[in-house]
Amino acid sequence: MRGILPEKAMTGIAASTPLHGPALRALQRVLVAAQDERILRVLAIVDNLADRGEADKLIAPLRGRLAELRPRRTLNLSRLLFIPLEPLIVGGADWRAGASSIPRTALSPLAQQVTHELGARAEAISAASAQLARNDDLERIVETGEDLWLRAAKILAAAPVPPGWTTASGLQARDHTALAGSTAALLAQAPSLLRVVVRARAGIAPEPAALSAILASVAPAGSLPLTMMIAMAMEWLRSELLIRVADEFVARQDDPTLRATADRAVDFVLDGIERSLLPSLDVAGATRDVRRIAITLKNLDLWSERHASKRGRIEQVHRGVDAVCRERFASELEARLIEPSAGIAAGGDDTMIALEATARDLRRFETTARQIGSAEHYDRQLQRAAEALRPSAGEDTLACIGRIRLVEILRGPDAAMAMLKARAT
Amino acid sequence: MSKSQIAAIRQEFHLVTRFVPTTFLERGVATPFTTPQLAGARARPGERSSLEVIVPNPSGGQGVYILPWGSIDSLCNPTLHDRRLNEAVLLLRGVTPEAIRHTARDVAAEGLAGRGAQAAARRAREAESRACLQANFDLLLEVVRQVELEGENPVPPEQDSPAALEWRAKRAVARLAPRLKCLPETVVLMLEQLAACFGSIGVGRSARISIAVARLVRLRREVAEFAEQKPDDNGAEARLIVSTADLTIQMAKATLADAQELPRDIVRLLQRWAADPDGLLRLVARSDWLLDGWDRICALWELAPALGRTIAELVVLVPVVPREAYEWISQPVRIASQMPAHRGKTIVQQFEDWRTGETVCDLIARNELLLEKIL
Repeated sequence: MRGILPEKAMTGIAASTPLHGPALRALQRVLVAAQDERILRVLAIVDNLADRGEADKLIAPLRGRLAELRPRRTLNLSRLLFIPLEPLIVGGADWRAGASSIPRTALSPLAQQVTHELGARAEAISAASAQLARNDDLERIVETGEDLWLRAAKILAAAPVPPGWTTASGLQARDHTALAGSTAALLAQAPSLLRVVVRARAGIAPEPAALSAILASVAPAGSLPLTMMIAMAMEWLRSELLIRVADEFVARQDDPTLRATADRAVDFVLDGIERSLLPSLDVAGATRDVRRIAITLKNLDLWSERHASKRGRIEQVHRGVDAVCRERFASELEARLIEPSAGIAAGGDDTMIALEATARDLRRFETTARQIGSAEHYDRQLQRAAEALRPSAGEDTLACIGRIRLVEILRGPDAAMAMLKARAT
Repeated sequence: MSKSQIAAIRQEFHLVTRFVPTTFLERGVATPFTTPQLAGARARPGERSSLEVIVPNPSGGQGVYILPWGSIDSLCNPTLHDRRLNEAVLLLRGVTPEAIRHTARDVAAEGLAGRGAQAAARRAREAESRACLQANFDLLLEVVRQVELEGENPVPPEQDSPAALEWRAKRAVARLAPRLKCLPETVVLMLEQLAACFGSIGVGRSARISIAVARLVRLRREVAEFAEQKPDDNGAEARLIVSTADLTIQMAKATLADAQELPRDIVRLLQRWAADPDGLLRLVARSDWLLDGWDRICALWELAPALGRTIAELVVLVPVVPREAYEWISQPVRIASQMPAHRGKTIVQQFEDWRTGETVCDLIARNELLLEKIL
């Protein structure tokens, strides 16, 4: 399939072209098999679409590979506007009125409304956005985005339903009121939250008072925006402290609907995990997915010590993730390492180097997935793989050493040494 | 390495908090292990056992652990490559940078550090072989230049035809032999032996050592720029690297110049070789000893340049310049550029952290890549 990516077809994909089911999966498979430069070209096409719509789904399985390729994905005003809200964005079909999420179909009309109200200033902000890329330093993004987020918060707080809203978004007029209001409340606090994230990424622990102040600023907007802020902050920060602060904050509220927001935010996060377990099709990307989920679940495990009612749900998600990880690891091990290892003797250095890279990817996956559970399963799988990789009697020294190295990567030097000694005798 | 592992090492082995070797042999020779816990390990002749290993304090703080070579596996679980290297180093009769380099190449050529390192070992052997041939040729040119009578041949030897040069070289060697009280065949043999010794120094042209000095000069410049631009990001450590690099560059250049000067008096060089080959070998190898360990530092910086965390990793590897070095150089060195007394921070390097996605095999793979660059 390599080299025959339907790039021309890609340019026709827009929000109005629904992509799902077998057609979507077929295109995803083509992309996964494509060479790096083709992926980057397709990515540029998707990034340049005025309305990305469902095209985003296409590149979702490639997030791991994209993280490694680190392409420079230039921003525009609309993409910069919604960066803080990314954890809340869901596909149009997954959104329900009153949910703590934002449907992707609403982004473009909301962005257009903001752009229109910004007037002449929109041009300067667009120019500044174009200087940025999504994978730039978050601090730089916050510096540039702060002005836009604060202005957009004011605009959306008072924004009427724009003409053509229903046609453009597929949503009802009352949905606009709820979404614009929530978005306004969240964007107003986005700079404060993301500055905490920037500091946390630099190793500076968040101040509980700072987190509490952010929540206090959103609370007057109502329970939905507060739920969304807690969920958004949980995804951005992945810190047990945040959940604790949120817990303590909502417990202090008189309004019973506000007191339930932390629970609802946890539900939102768990729904998100269940909705998209390991979306990446490559091992490196799947490892990132597992790591994100494992950190979230560890935080939620601690939280559930104080919330017995949610323990069952968290454990259920835990088990679900564990099962998917186990199955995924076993199949990846077979398909990407054991089967291709049959070609070691005939393959050259490139074959061996690629197999070693795959073995390391699998080790990273396994190391991370163990945090979810089933350590014994992974031990058994690695042992099985090592046996399958055992050098055969007639194999030449180069191929034998290649196999032994794969065993060393998967099971460590002692297992590899034992195999080397067994071959010598 | 986890804090509990570090605590276990502290309990079992004695930490030498102030490691100030007076000689290069006492400093030991950098050994290119791939096991993360053995980064910066050095081999040296032991007091009680035949060999000792010196390992930088894994906590990142001051000091080193010195333990018998055979105890390496009680410190960590070495990679297969390191187990083979460990065995091979034990068989060495003397520990020198050259001996360790050759041993490391031989082990890497077996493939246990990967195909990249295997190919790099092959390339390094070929390059060394070419450098020896070149040095042999250049030494012969020196013989012709210095032995032929003035005006005897108007064509400079390097511009003469191969056949004519061959004839002129044989004539020069024949003239030289009686002055050295030996047969012409012995002169040819001595020139071949000297070529092996001068391959890395170069005879009238730059060779491996000059390239290594240039690499270190580049590292020094880039790290100094980094320290200036980001003084708060391990700036003190960066300045320490710069100071030590300064001192090493000055001394390496001086000892290299001394060695490169030797073939300018080919008769004296051959006489010294005949009388005291070990002494001459030691003299020529001085710049190699001075630069020992810097190749890994340069390679690390080239892999991950301009990062504070790279500086934190490099500073642990910076070799102390022993007092012996000051006796080696004919010109005084600016003492002001000596390295600061100690590093202050404690940097515990995590070898496995699922939260960051870093695994031991990633670090080993990175170290294998370093090995490719330093063989």
